[in-house]
Amino acid sequence: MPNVEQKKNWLLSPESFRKFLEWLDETEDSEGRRYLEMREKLVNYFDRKNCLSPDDLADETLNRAARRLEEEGAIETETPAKFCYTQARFVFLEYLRRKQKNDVSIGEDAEKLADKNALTDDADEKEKRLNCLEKCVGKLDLDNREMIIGYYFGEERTKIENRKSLAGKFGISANALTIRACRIREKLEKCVRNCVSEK
Amino acid sequence: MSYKGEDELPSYNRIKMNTEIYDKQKLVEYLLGSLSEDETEQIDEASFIDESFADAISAAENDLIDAYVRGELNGAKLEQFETHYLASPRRREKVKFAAAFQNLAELETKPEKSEGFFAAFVNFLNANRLSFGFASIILVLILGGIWFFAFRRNQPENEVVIQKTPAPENKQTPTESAVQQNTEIPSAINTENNKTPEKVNKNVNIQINRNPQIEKTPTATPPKIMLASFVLAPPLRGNQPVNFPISKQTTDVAVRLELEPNDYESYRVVLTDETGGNLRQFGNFRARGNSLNVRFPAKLLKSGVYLFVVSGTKDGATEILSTYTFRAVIK
Repeated sequence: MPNVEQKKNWLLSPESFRKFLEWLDETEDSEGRRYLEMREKLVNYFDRKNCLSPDDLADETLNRAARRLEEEGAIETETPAKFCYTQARFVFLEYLRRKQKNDVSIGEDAEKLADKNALTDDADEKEKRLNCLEKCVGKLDLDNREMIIGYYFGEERTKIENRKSLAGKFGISANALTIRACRIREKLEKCVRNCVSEK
Repeated sequence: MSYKGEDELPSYNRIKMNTEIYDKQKLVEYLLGSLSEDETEQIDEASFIDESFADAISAAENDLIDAYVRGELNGAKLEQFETHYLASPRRREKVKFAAAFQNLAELETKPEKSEGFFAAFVNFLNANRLSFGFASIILVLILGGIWFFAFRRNQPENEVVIQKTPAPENKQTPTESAVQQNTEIPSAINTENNKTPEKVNKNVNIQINRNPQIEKTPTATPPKIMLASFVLAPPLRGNQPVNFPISKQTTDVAVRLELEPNDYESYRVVLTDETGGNLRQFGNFRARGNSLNVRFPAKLLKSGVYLFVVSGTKDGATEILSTYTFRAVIK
């Protein structure tokens, strides 16, 4: 396992970064989209582990993967996704060791993080969030708007029936509908998050 | 992860990952931190290397969050959600978003509590803070509707006529003039064909005319247009859907959508059902005063909740302004 401390001062050059993006893309130039998707996966990974700073750990993982690529010239034993996951595991294990060193367990991290009161918005916050949501829904094109509203309206059996007819209407499978609805919802979440933080 | 044949598993609960079938319930346990270390690691890895599996986790996560927001989680699952899932600020933001999204959905789908007609009418007036004059218009419409249906019991042939006030002079016979007024109706109101209306008179009255001459004329069969007309005030949060009582004989429905003061160049209105399915689009047209008038065939409606989604365009940018909700009650 590479000694992280010795490489602490390693900086990602523009050329290294370009090579890293190409390696992540594998075949097709995604114009950086693949990098952002991988970063999002890593943030979700560390977040699910209840790490205190998932964004920092994700960046550390990507930096480490880029450094390894530069050192070795090429990485052909694993796909980029698998390699990034492997690096993420190492970063997480080191994070755990640091925590244990400071006698703070992950469970205690979770307690620090958990604050159910933080789940409750006051009336102004709720209003702001709802306004932002309406604004963000308005930015969707008609098809996406219809899809996201139709996908989540109704309860239980009604919702299941709605989704079946929605899939039929758009001429896609139920699975494809689920994926598209999730992607639209993610877009909306991001839009609302940005909007709420702006106001 | 064990492979099971597709036919062994209930199809609604399955998420396909490449050639393997994975139990959605397993994904929920993963999200709640209930799986063993080995199983967790397997899913972690799969979420990186398999895009469709990553999508399946997202879908399961959204459904779990929505279930929590709707109060459908209980027992151990609820406890795990609140202690484990809500431990992260990032995940708490997702729950807040879901709650806001659920709010939006509830505004459109909340069933109306049963209450007396008058109480519902009073609540409607109060909720919408209608002015006295506007409330009077609503009252006239309702009383006109009651008179129409009461009168109609004894008179099989009736027509609903919309007239501009003052009523235009017409030198034709009464029978012909009634027919003429029926066919003139489209000019008074914007249609989905975007006809620019002639001088729209704000003082549009509903008149119920019984024209015995039409009944007695054996050969003339004028097109009978049965029009139900309604007005919707600008929506406020928490409002219940407004009831539109519509008889089965109604052929057309005309609705005036009152707008908040604004300066949009043009508007578009989309009539949808409660699942978001588009039924009719009207646009682009300009508001008359602070209202939009639309008309559509009554056969588009069944008893249920519908929405008018109004969007405005200014400087090339379009945004949704309001969503008006109503409940069609077909009698």
